[in-house]
Amino acid sequence: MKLLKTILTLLIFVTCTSFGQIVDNTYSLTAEFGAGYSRYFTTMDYNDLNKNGFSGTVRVMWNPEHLLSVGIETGYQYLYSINISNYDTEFGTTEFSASMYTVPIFLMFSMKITPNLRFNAGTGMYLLFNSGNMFDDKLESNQISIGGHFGVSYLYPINKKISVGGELLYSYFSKIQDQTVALQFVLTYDLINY
Amino acid sequence: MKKILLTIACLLFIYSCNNEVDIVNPVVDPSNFLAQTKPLNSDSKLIMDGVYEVVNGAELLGDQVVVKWTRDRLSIFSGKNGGYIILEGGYLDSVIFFVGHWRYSTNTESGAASFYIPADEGGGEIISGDTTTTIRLIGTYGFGNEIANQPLVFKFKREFSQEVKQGNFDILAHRGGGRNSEYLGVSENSIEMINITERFGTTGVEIDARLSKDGVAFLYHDNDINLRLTQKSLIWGDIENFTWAQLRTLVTLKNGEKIPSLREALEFVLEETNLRTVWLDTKDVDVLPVSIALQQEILQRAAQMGRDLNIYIGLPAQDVYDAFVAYPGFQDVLSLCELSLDQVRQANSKVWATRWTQGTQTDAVQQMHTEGKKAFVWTLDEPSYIEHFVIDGEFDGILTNYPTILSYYHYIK
Repeated sequence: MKLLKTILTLLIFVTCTSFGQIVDNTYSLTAEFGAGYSRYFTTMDYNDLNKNGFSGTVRVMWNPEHLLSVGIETGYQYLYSINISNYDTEFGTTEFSASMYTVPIFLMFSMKITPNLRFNAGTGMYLLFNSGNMFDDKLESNQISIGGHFGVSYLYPINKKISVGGELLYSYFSKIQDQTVALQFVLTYDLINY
Repeated sequence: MKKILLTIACLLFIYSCNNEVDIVNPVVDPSNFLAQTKPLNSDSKLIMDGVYEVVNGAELLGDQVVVKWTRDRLSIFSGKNGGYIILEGGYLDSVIFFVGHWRYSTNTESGAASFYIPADEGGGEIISGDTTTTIRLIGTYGFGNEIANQPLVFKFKREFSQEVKQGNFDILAHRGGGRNSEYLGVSENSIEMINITERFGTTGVEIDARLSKDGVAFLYHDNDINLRLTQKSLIWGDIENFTWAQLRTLVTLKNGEKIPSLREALEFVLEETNLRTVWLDTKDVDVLPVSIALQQEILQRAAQMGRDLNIYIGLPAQDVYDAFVAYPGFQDVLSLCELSLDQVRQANSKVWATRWTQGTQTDAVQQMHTEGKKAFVWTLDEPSYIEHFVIDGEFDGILTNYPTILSYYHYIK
């Protein structure tokens, strides 16, 4: 909660000191692909919990003449997995495995701070997918959580249509009150310019 | 200027969000003094029950309190902020000593409290089992973890009325004793909650039954695993997706307890408590046959033990009702129906349970009484309405998240 408040505070300061002035009159629709490493942060205390995994995002952003862009996002984010071969329980010893990943369905906003630096924020719902095995019974469940993420990205244009760069992305999942920080390689492609 | 105001407004909004509640559980009897005392017998305990005048310390609990032994604790209920005191006690020579804590039900204030009854202020008579009306509880209380040094003195005023003593009114505690949001230190729908609920004056509990993927009935309110009811776990989602072994092993309730099976809960009520009513709220249609089978078994055991125990299968909604009346021999199953009076009759339910927002419904309650049925009302938490329903209503029981408040208004009748 403290971390989230700090991030929100920084976000407010950044957005309140930025200006949405017109830079040109060109509109564009951009596809953005991100892939990289994600680290899960939780208060769950399991020694064998693997918190490192893959993070990927796909966005379609509409860039009007203003600095603020709006779009939609989906993707994949690994949260955790665990495998315990001899798990002692009151029902006996069992092999136990569990994992969780999430798919966001987000409304995204992106603000140009400098020509190459952008501040990204999005909110919407996460589809949480939980699976595993215990006592030879499959664990399989999914549910919806509201959530949000904030990130900073740096994009360097290679040509008129393609830019590449990186993004640091913080995500919060309200249902499980946990968070991830992801570092992604980003590629953007201008689909339409008008 | 606008930006500064916007920034300040946003920051105020963010920092006003706080879901951390700080309840102090005061240190009680650090020197373990009570270990030197002897326990009072049940006759002695009965002598102490009654309505007491607050001679000193009315600012904490108002001008009168109810004093009642409940199983292994002396409980004191008041009308101010739902204030109550729960004490352990024992005697040494001819003096009776008590230590414990006080708490307001309607907020988070709490503190330590301790009392004694001198030999010449009723202590001697109580210990020897002689009736006395000169009981004086002399004590102190403190706030939080401060030393209990504020004076608090209660003087016996009267016994409970004949109406109260001869009646069979049920003080029913929601979710086994109270919701997690009451911060009682134990989780709702847990064995640990059922274990302490009588200290709040409870005579019956409402508990929520669900069914696991492999057919085991257990206690749990919501339909999913969530942080309101549980600690963080490796499994999430609809609770019916998991087997009993998975739930029991991987899910921990909010205050660290394991989810109890319905069997464990009913056996605990039967064997370890004096509770006389269980309202088994059916949260899942599929749990009905398992609940009924367990109910029959536990009621049979209760009868063999000579134990006064009623376990009602709750019929809260039409789908559960329909499943119930399709069950072979449903007429002989002890049930509680929350639907219309006609459906109460058709299901042969022994109890009609109605929403408090419908009012005291005296005519309907009297009609149920005429037909040999009981009437309960749910879920009444507002102190002024609790008082109104106790005084003006004719219900046989009230379901509440604040049994201490209900206990006060019931026992001062």
